[in-house]
Amino acid sequence: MKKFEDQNHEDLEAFFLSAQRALPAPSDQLRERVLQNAQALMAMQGAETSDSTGSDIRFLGGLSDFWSDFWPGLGGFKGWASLAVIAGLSFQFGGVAPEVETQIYDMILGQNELGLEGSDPFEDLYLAYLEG
Amino acid sequence: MPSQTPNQLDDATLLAAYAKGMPEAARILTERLTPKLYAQAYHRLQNAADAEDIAQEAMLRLWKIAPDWQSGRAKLSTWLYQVVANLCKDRCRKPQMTGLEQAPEPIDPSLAVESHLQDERRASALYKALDQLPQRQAQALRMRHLDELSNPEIAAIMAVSIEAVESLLARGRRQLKTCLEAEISALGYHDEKV
Repeated sequence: MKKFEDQNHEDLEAFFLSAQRALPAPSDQLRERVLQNAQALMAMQGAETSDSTGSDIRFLGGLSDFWSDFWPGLGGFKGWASLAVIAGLSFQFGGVAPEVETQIYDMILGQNELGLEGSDPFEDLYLAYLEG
Repeated sequence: MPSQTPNQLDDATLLAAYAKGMPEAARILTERLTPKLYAQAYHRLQNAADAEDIAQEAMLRLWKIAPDWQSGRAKLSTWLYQVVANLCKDRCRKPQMTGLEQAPEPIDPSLAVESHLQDERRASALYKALDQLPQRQAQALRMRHLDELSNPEIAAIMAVSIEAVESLLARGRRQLKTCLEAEISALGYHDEKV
């Protein structure tokens, strides 16, 4: 390639060519250092990319976010424990031990303690209805 | 259309491939660009260790910008050229090293000693003469004749028209020749005329 269009500057071209020839070669370590930097940054940037765009990880992260909002909304562990106790008691009162339910009912009305077993405030109305 | 080998891909495409995690792209870019950046820095600093540091730093900046690089925004080589130029300016502002780090580079034994010494003397005279020129003329001459950039590339880097680059080069050559007049006689150039 002729870099000097003007033939009067051939002497200058000799100086520039000499400067290029006198250029010392870079060390072998330079290439290694540059490539090491490239690989280190690629690893860092790859990790960031995975965090932000990996579909599986993003899905799991979404679930995690959902639970992190939903769980406190339910009252956390205390809320769930209270619900479990209430559910257990309801089951117990409703289906397994009707005698316990009767006892509680009686306790509330105080009828056993007062010796008024079988007494019903609406009993008269009920009997009148049966009798027509 | 025939498919391209990775070595035939342009710099911006390779950088995008690197950003997507392809190590081969980094290897090709390193081998393609690092020697040029090193040479550019050396022609301004005349110190191999500094030139290597600057080439490494410029390439590090390239790796960092890879995920955000927009192909249409600027030419990669132009951007890198400016990075190296700025790093060289910063390096020149720092106190100069003394002692062994400024010792001349060992002579390549594969070259004839006399020829190598001739080149070194001419190179030294050239660098001194360039330092005496107006800054923009010297900048244009370095880019054209040492870094081997085209006039349009120089125009893009200097943010001037191509005609302005041609004018800078013409005036720069005249002044440079004046500055080197004594050395041209003393160091000769006739062996280059073949």
